[in-house]
Amino acid sequence: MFEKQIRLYGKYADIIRKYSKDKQGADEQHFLLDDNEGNEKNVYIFENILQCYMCAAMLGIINKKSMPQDSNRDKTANIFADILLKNRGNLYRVYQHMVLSEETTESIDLVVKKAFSINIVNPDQEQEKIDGYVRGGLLIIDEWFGNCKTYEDVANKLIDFMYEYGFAE
Amino acid sequence: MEIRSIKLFNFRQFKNANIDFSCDKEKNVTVLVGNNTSGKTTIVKGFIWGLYRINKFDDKILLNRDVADKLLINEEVATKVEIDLDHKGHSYTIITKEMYVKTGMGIRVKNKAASSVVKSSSDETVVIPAIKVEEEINSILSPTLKDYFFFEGEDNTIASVSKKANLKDSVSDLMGLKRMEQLNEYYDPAKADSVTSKLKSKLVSSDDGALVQYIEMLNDAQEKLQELKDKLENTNKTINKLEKQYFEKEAQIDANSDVKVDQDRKKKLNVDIINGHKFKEERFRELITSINSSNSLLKILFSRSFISNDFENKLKETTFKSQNSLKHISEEAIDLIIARGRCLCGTELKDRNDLVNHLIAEKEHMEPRDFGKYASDLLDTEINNIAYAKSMSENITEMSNNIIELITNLDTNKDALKEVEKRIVGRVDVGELQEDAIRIREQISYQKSTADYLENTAIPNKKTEIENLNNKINLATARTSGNEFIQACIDYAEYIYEKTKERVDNAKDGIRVDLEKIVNEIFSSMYHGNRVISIDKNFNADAKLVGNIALDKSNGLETVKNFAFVTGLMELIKQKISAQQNTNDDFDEYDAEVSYPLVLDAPFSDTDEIHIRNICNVLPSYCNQVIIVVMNKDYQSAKTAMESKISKKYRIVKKDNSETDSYVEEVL
Repeated sequence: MFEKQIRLYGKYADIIRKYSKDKQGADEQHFLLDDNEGNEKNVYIFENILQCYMCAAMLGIINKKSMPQDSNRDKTANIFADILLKNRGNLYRVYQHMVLSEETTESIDLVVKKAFSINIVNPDQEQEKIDGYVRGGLLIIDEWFGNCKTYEDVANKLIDFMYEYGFAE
Repeated sequence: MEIRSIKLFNFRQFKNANIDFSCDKEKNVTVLVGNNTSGKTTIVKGFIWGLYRINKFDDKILLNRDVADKLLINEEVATKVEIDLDHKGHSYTIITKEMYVKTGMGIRVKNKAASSVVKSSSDETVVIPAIKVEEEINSILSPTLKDYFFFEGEDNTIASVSKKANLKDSVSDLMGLKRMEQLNEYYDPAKADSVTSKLKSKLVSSDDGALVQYIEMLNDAQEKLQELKDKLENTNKTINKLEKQYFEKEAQIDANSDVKVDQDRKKKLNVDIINGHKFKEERFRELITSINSSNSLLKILFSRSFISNDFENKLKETTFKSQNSLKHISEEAIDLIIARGRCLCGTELKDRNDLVNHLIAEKEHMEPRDFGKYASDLLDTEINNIAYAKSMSENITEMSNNIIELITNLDTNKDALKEVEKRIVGRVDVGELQEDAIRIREQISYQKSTADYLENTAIPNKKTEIENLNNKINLATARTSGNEFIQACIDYAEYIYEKTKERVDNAKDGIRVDLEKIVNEIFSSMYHGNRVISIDKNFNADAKLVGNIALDKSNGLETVKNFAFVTGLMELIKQKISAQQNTNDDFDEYDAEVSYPLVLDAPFSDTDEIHIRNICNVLPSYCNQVIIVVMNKDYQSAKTAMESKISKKYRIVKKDNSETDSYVEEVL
């Protein structure tokens, strides 16, 4: 797992590009805000596409929201293998969260074994399962920030986000 | 000079206006009240045009616009001002007329303004010949002095009177010193064309060459001296002009002090708004950096998942325990031991005996299947992570709140800026005025140092040089009878010069002292505070705190000071006349009946109510005739104090609110 490049298609490619600094501009995917002076400023939430990918995955996992691939193959967003390799620790932690949070009739020992085994049985299937959660998570991200028009909107959404997913009191 | 009436025909807004002024000695005030653009200033400028044909309007066509519009091509019409006045026992009717004609190109002046004067006394009535008209009018009131009696409120205001460039000459003129000053200049040995200098050029030398050379050098030095004096005079004029500009700037700054606060606020708001935008974007970038650095958001989500899915209890249920972990031993090592059939302790391992089975079972607690340790590590990591996630959540929330606060302040500042901009639209920039005032002050300082050098170094040096040359000429002069006679004439001319100089200097100093005394008497009745007015040798008045400290020049106070100055000047003329009757003076003659009007347009603008009242209390007592053209609101402040002195009051009314048709009606 996490050895081959990951590719997202269609609207999920659009969403991940829109919120990731390193993928904006390639095909006009911008997160535009009014800067209070009547100008539009391009901003972002995630400094790179992998951050967005991993956070989306966790949001999908937490909300148990998995989405199938978009059949539209015209638009793509890639995460290359070398990037994945450098971030294997966090990616495997995401995988462990996915496995440990799955509802199953299997014993906890089997679940633990599955979560922490080096040799993953059927890795492509597991990768697709993670990507499904990523897609679900991307929709959640877009629901949170998609309607933001101003810096104030984004700041307000982040405050709400921290109440919902973080630990702000 | 006492003005009985003015009649305006087709003159600017007035098609036909007739105003009689109070000539009552006790109730000597005439008031004309009108709103903006009703024609107040036109009336005062009408006096100046009627007497001196000086057109002080921006639009040089004086003809009433309604009348002009109705003219047919080639039709002619006159605009006319008629002034009736009394002066030195004579009555005058001065009519000034300008003819206009309508052409295909519009209205043109056909005959330029010309005046006619009819002078009458109890014995006779004389029509003054056209060639003598100007001289006759100037004998009533010299045009150089008109600005001390007719304040039209624009170029010439009470507030600027003591800063006039020609003040020194004007006071000399008013006080009758002019003739004596001219006599003094005529004999001034320092001047190349004076009587003394001309006599010196007639001297004959025993050594002609040396005398001629000395006389040439003397002439040259005298010319240089005159140049230095001219330069000093010009420098002083420049100083006066700059001081007037400086005062006007200060007056403008005072008059706009309310807008200064708003203009400063506008500048501050603009800076705050620019900074607000900058800070907002900086804080936003910091917020995003904070979300991304050290995988903060990801760690928060790990913690949320850990808690939501109750991993802590779930993982405790596993039979894989970290205490069973066999660290540093790998599955490969166990496989090798089993394969070689002997344990590390030497015990022989047989196929599938208990020892082998035990070793195989232990493989579940070592790499890569040390699940107890792995589960335990995840538990430890995530439990530790929760504290970090909480701190980061609060941090992100606080940073977001800061951004919202910045944006709220930004919006508040923008609203405030709009309000401020609304208030100051069309007003002058006080900051620029202050910069101008500083610049002018620096120029004044420079010019004063130049004047000081000329007056105290260059001119005295040149005078010493002239004196030395004169001594040389005396030594070189042949003792001939002709020379002796010329020398006697020179001595006599110098004596006349010294005597007239002494008289002029004494008279001027006397006038300065008397004027300062009277002005201060009047000032103290108009203004109650620890301030006195000092008048310098050039008759410039300055209000100073007792102790010689310069006073803040508020516009109201400047106006009071200048009212005191003008009325003081008038009072001094009266006193001079009175004293004249009992002495035989060499100075200009006065007539006992001489008096002057004071005509003022909007004299109380920028003056506070208390000072208006004080001025109005005092003014009629010192002036022979007061004519005030004023806005209704200023009249209300002046009314109580002045009412007992008002004999005639008029309203200036715009007919049907027209800009081209005003009339004057007496209020009974």
